[in-house]
Amino acid sequence: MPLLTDCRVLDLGIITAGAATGALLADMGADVIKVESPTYRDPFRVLGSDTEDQVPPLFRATNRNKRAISIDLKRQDGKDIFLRLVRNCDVVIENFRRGVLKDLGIAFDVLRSANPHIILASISSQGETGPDANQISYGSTLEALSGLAWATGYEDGAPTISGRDVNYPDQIVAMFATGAIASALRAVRGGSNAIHLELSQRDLAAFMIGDRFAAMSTGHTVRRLGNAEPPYALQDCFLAADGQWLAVTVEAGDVARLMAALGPDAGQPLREKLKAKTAESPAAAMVSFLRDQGISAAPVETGRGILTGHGTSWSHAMLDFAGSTVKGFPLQVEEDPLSIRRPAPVIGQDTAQILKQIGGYSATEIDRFFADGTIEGPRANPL
Amino acid sequence: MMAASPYSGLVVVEAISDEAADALVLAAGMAGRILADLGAKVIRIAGRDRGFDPALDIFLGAGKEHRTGADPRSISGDADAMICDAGLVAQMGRANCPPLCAILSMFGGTQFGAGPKASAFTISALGGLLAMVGEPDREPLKLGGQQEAFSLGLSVYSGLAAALAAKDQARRTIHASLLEAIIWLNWKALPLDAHTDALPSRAGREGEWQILRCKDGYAALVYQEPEWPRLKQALSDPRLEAEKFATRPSRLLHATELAEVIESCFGDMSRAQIQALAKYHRLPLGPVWSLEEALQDPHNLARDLFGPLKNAVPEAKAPKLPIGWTGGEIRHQTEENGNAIAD
Repeated sequence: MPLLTDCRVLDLGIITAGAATGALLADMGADVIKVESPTYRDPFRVLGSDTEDQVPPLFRATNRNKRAISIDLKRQDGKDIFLRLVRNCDVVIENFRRGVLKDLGIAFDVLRSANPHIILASISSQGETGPDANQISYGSTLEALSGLAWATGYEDGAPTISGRDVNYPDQIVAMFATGAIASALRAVRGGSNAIHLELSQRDLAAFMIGDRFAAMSTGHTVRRLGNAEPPYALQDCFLAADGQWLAVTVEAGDVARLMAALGPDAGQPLREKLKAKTAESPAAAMVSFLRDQGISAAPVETGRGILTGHGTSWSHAMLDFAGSTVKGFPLQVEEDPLSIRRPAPVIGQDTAQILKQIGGYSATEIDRFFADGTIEGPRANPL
Repeated sequence: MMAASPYSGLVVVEAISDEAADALVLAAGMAGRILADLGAKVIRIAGRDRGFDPALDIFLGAGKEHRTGADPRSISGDADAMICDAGLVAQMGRANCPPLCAILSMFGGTQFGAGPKASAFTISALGGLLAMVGEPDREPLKLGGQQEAFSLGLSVYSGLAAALAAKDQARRTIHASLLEAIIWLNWKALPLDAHTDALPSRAGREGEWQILRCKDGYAALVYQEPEWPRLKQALSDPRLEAEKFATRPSRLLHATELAEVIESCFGDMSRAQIQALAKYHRLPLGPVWSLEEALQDPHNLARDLFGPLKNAVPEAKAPKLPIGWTGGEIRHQTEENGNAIAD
């Protein structure tokens, strides 16, 4: 059976960091319920959408495999409904601005009162505490603050960030938070009481260069190296005759063989010989040549070029589902394969069903909540 | 920061064969490091000397039991889980591996456990991540440190953690490849619908978000549409009121000019002043701290982020495992009445 069978998640997560965490839990078999409000939507419902899509691409990619409910958590009735659902759930995920959960009256202590075994995963930019905890930030802000930007860059250049289209800390935290939630779930299933997980993207970005901090603190100079990386004799990108960049890693033990293969030695260093040879060769031919010499080499792919390896060198990181491309999985489980079972929901798609099934509300009560605006049924994007 | 031990009593073997790529050693090291910090007994079987920076061994080896040159078969029989590569599983036979096994590979698809020789760098190229960082008129640029391998380590940890949380605790085999992990985290670089024309690549100085010089170093210019009016207000520079900066599409067209204007504003400000300005105006600007500065940063000190590394020299410091874990008291079932008592 799927790994996280019988795990139910209330997913208040938005954009990437929160929503992708819920998506990965859903992929692993959890019943993940996306919680939105008549007055607040996941910004991915509108970001990057210039079409009439009911479910726009960014939202669709990170929210497939989830059910959806819409409750006005600012109303007492809405909060009561949410807490009644909490009683029958295992995990709550949130990545709001710090303080929002408390302002809504659903902070950890309240959730724990409703369910003494609940796991609250708070995925934040900079943690719950510390002088910068309330500072607004996005992923690349945290690259700067964590030291990762300082460690990234051309050898002769400035610090560098991954930028808006990667927003690296937002991506890695989803993998990490999924693991942390599963670790807490094991603890609760083993007899622990409620757990509040505090997951800071800034802290994680720093942890991901932990070896650089270890080097610096033990007296070693740490500086930006461009694409170079010990212990390799040479690692960099070279421009091919057809305008495509190639990435090449040469190990120390391969230098003599490669030098010989590149032609007569006129005293040029390996970098110059490789650069010259690449500049006169089409990329595919040069990759072939280098691989034949036992060298790691690959074209630097962009956009649709990445798709050329689908089926051969990768298969499930992105998937086609119901006629759309959605985010897939970073891993697979042989005995219980992760799969996409349902498309991303429209707003409030499953509100009535969830109130009845998990909250135990009667049809009359549900009708009343719909009528007074406490809950919201299925409706098209955006607001 | 972290006091819980959900994996107390769990034995994990971390072993990557000598034939496997370096990145798999580092990825397995990261996954094992996290499990060790969460209470597992992680036995790391070191293979051949790969010439890694010693700091990698210090950081990834913390809290583990190290055995050099040991035969994994002699240890795996008593282990609950194993982090390994496809070559090692082929040698041992899956039946001789622990019930839970995470198998790492550079490639996925039909090339899982096979494929051409590759490094983390060349896999980053194939996954498009390399193309996303750096200046458009220069060579693509890798992220600092070991981001590709460590990301695979996070992926492996998530899979193992989910399997260890499963109610049935059945035998499971996790397949985790570096290329799948890179594409998964670089998902916005791929076309999400058929009519996507412009796909992103590295923008450098033409980027909406970028690093700019300031009085005493560098700061990250980061903002979304809602922050633009506050950014203008904070910088109080009349040049920002120009028509060409009025809308996002127009700002993107004139991104280099915009960066020059903002950089000239930053030129009179230190990073500390930019951070204060960002806090006051609720802007997501970020001063670029060096590693030394991050170590002494008041926020990091208040959070007790850095600590010594187990098994290392006392002066070695690195960020602790970034999981804050509160609550989680263990309930004891009393034999008499079955009531739960919290510690």
